[in-house]
Amino acid sequence: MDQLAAFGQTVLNGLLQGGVYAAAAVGLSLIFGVSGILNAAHGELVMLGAFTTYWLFKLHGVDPLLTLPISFVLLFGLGYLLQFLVLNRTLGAPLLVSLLVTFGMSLVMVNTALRVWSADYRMMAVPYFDRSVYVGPLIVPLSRLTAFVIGLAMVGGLYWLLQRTELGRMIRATAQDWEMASLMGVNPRFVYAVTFGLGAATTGVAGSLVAFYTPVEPNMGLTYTLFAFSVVVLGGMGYIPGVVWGGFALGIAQAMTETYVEAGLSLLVAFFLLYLILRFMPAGIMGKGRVE
Amino acid sequence: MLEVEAIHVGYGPLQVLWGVSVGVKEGEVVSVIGPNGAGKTTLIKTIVGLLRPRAPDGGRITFRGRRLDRLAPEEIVRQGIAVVPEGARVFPEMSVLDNLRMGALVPRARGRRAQTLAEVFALFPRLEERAGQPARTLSGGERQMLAVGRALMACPALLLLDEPSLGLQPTLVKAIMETIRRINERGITVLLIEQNVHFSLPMSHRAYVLEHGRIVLEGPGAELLRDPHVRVSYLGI
Ligand SMILES: Nc1ncnc2c1ncn2[C@@H]1O[C@H](COP(=O)(O)OP(=O)(O)OP(=O)(O)O)[C@@H](O)[C@H]1O
Ligand SMILES: [Mg+2]
Repeated sequence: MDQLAAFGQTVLNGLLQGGVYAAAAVGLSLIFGVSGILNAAHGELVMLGAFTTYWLFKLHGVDPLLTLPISFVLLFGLGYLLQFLVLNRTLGAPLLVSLLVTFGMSLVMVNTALRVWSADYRMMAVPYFDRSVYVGPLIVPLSRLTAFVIGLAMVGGLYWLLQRTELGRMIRATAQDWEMASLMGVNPRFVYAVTFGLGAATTGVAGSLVAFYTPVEPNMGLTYTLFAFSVVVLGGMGYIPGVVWGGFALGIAQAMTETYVEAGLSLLVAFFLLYLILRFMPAGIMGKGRVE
Repeated sequence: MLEVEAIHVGYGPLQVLWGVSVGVKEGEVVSVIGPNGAGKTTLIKTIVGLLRPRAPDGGRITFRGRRLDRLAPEEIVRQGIAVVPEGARVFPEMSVLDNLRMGALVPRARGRRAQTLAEVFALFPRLEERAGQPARTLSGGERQMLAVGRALMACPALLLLDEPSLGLQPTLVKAIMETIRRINERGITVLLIEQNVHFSLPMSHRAYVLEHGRIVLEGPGAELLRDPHVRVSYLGI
């Protein structure tokens, strides 16, 4: 019975983490699917979102939940500007060019963060997040549950926006045939900027959610770039709903490894899953690999 | 209404159009015929801004007195021009309905969207039956209908069509030509690229023959149909 409970707890931990992974990865998938840009600075957007929440809470006492919209707006603006001023110049260039440019951006972001905030690990202490919900033998920390629910809701919201709104139609049309989209009156450069803005905003919010239950530090980005990349490959590059399955797969695989093998292998697990998928199912678990 | 004046256009070092001039007056159906590789698609792409005339002295394009050849495609279509491109180019992963909605994005069409949609469905009942389906699941003929419907959703003053009958069976070619004639009767000016000259020339007020990137003949459609060169080259008579 104890073993069963431990197993259940492990799966639950993986699911909770997986929901946040989905939220942290969806922007990477969106941006790749629409603009064909592989954003090497993706994890740094997680880091910036996490710091936004941390500092707003620490310095101004803003409730962490209320920092989420702020994180969204700030990162949207940053993403929009980066695409509009910098990345739009790489349109039509090989994938490697945007990869190099975004890698440069990640270096600037990390080093600025190190300079301004130092390399310290910082953890928020939010009284109401210390509580847990108990379901039979299972423990559900409130901070993780909140992050999970909001993270998945955000992925759902993004999907809804893409499928049901006029902006969403403009984005999907541009992803499928940007020339034709421009002949419908759409300015593709604007769409690419909004797309990067949305991708950065959701990623920033995911970072804010991460800050609910993990320490924040300037170098945290790289692991999230790798996690997000694994999740997106698992779910199918550019296929938005795929990040949910990819996130769960990575979260559960990491939790299992932690419980039954050894803690501290989460990066290795991500690499291993990435290898398996690329080797055997290059279109992702669901067999879809494009924006729909 | 549309004046294309002596444009020179190419791809990199390859020049395709050599001083091509084409004019379309309000209310007309004008067609352009020519063999494969003559530059017909290149002409359409240049009008809508996907290609630029050679600078400098690459010629000019005006629409209702306004210069188009320096505007971006999205600005050109906002002037009231819609296009049915070669191969339809519907958005494959979007539903038929969403494809049609995309057509009505331009400001002039937005307010009238529901009404235009009803008109398009009346013109192509098949599209209404398929409204929820992804466009990639449509047959070739249905895709052409969708591309025409999508262009009509923009409430254009000028409609450009690049071989809308490509790959369709003869009865469908006839139907689509008939549809174009009806569209024109509703007051939409038409510039039509069409290889099926015995369908397209009779309904064209005027027509141009484009060969090797140059206009070699022009005249009223019915007259060109009797021209010996046209009969030999395009009707195989
Ligand atoms: N993107 C391109 N790059 C280089 N050359 C091109 C390109 N597109 C077309 N061409 C060349 O330009 C010439 C004219 O092409 P275009 O597509 O305008 O012909 P067309 O008259 O529409 O022919 P068709 O009846 O086959 O559609 C052709 O020789 C073609 O090979
Ligand atoms: Mg052509």
